[in-house]
Amino acid sequence: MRLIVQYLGPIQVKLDKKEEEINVDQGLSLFSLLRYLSESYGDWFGNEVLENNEKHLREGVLVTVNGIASGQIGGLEAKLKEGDIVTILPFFAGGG
Amino acid sequence: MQAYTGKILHVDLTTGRSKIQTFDDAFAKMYIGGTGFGIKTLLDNQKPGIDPFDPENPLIYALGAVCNTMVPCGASKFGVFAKSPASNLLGEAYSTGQWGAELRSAGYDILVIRGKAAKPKYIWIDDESMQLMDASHLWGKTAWETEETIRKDLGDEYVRVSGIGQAGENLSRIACLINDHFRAAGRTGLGAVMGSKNLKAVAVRGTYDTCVADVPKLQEFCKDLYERARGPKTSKYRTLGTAANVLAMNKQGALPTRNFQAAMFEGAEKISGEYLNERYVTKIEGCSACPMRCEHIAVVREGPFTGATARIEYEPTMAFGSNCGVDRMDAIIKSVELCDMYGLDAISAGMIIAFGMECFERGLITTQDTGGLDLRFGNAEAMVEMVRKMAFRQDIGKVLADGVRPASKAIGKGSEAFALEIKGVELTGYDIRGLKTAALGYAVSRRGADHQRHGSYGPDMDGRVDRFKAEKSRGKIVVGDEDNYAIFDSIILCKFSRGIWNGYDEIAKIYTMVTGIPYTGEEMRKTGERINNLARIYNIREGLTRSDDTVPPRVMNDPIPSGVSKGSRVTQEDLDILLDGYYEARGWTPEGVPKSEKLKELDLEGYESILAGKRK
Repeated sequence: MRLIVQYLGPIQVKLDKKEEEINVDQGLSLFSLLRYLSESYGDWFGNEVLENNEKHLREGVLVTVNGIASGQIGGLEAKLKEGDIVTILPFFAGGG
Repeated sequence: MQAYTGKILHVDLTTGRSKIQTFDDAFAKMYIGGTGFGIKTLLDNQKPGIDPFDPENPLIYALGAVCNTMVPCGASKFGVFAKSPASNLLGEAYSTGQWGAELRSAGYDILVIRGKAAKPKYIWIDDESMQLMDASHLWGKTAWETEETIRKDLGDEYVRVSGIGQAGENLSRIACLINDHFRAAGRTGLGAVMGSKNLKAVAVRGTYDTCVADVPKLQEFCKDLYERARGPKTSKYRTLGTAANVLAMNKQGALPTRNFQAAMFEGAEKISGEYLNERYVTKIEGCSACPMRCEHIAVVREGPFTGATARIEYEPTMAFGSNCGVDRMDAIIKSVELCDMYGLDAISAGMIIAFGMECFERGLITTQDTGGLDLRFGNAEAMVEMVRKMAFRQDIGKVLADGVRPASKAIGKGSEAFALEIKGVELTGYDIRGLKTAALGYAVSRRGADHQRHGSYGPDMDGRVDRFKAEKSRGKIVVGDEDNYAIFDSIILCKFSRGIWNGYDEIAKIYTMVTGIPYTGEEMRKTGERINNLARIYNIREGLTRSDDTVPPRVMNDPIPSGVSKGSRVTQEDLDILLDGYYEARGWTPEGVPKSEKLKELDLEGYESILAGKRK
């Protein structure tokens, strides 16, 4: 299935990429997608996004699917569908 | 007790006299410092119901408990308190930099300023010495010029200054206090309180050491804390800074746009943290003894605002950027610079200009009112010029300078419908129509519209709750967040460090290592609850009722028009559910008044007489 993956914040800067379209297996989970990206870009990606590379987002990182935070749709076990837009972004940091 | 000086300096500007009051361990343990000290001192020293510009409205500086110690992320923070000219309720603002550490070095934990000087003065605290200095040559100067001139006059570049610019002199109800050039005790108009006293600044120089209770244990602990504060949980602050929120909020349909007419901004990329860092940030600085170093200093190098320099965070970027429809980072930097110079709350200033823009586009005000400015959304030059007009009360700036609530009353013609304020304080950078837990936090916040007294946008944004739904259970979440933040605001710890602390137990541990006063985690939690109830008592005394715990008409009546949050708003039914849940979780009556058993539980029975007649 086709997915759009978007990057914001420090990950965007490190990857030098804002967005990409990828093709993955049907019914892939969010966690599996993140593992797939980690294998593509290197361990640093997994370390950046996941806590100890386990099924838990690192503090300060948010992942949304079609604008909704992963926590609201079943966490990293959530199954993705054709055309989903997955965004990896920094968690909100206050400021002002 | 250690670390604390145990001294409160009272200064009377009318008589020119000062006196020192002392406090003991028991007081320190009950209220800790910062917000606890500030609210308690205000409640006990301000005559009920007075006007905020009455000389007897005390302007209070209160240091955090760990101020001027080796504790990372807490070494220089202070709070300022008074009856707010914006809300006529609790005025409360925080700042950092170096000023707070200097006041403690001079020998004081709390400074209480009353009265009104016959002619402009500034307070000069030089260790035990307190003098009222002539400030007639400073009146009319910007906050930056004031700091430079005072240092030159006193012949000491290490003097720290907290003062006002022209906005405070002109009693703008959004005027703030500026210290250390880029730092502001920004919200609730406390700069106007200073100005109303004919007081220009408080200058401090201190030479005493601050001794802590357990040096070896504290050193060990702080080493670990230091590493945590420089680690991955705070890296976002050092890298792109908080302006990285712009694209993140935009993605989630929560970025205030064009006076909250929308929640996504088509120009977000050009005002993003990424864009800011790539083109404008020249250096990253930090506060005294802070390893996080989050201050992104931006400089404009070309165009009409060349030379503009400001510390740029998310909130003013939103306020002058998306919320004014402006996609020019140079204009945002210039606007923030002017706010720092003139001493205006940058968040409120941007929000008010956005309100003015909507008034202009609706034809409620014209170029006659704006002094010829085409004050449409997106007009960056007009926005910058309007900051000046507000500071100097020129043209419509005269009306806008006091906030959207009085401005909408003065302009009328239905403009109240899009005045984004709660309790007279302008909203901040979260479109709460699609963040129902945050909406509750904003509605009940003790100083008016505010995300900083609770941080309850967290559960909404990270998906711990359904952010589009109002549930009674959110009350407990907001109570927990508020009590936690009341401790952060008392110790005072930078909220950017909130991710590195392991709960109340750890905060209690470090408090004891610093002060020698035994404290448990549960006692800390209870003190946070005590402080929030104290604030409620103060606000009720000054006239607050349940009807003040609300959200603006636009938030209630105008759904977010597009994007992922399309259709969201906070209905009256939502608000009632949220408030009922919150009051119940707080142990308050359905009208939002602390019950007598709650006061007793928190050792606040002494204030029962204030509330007795308010319960139904």
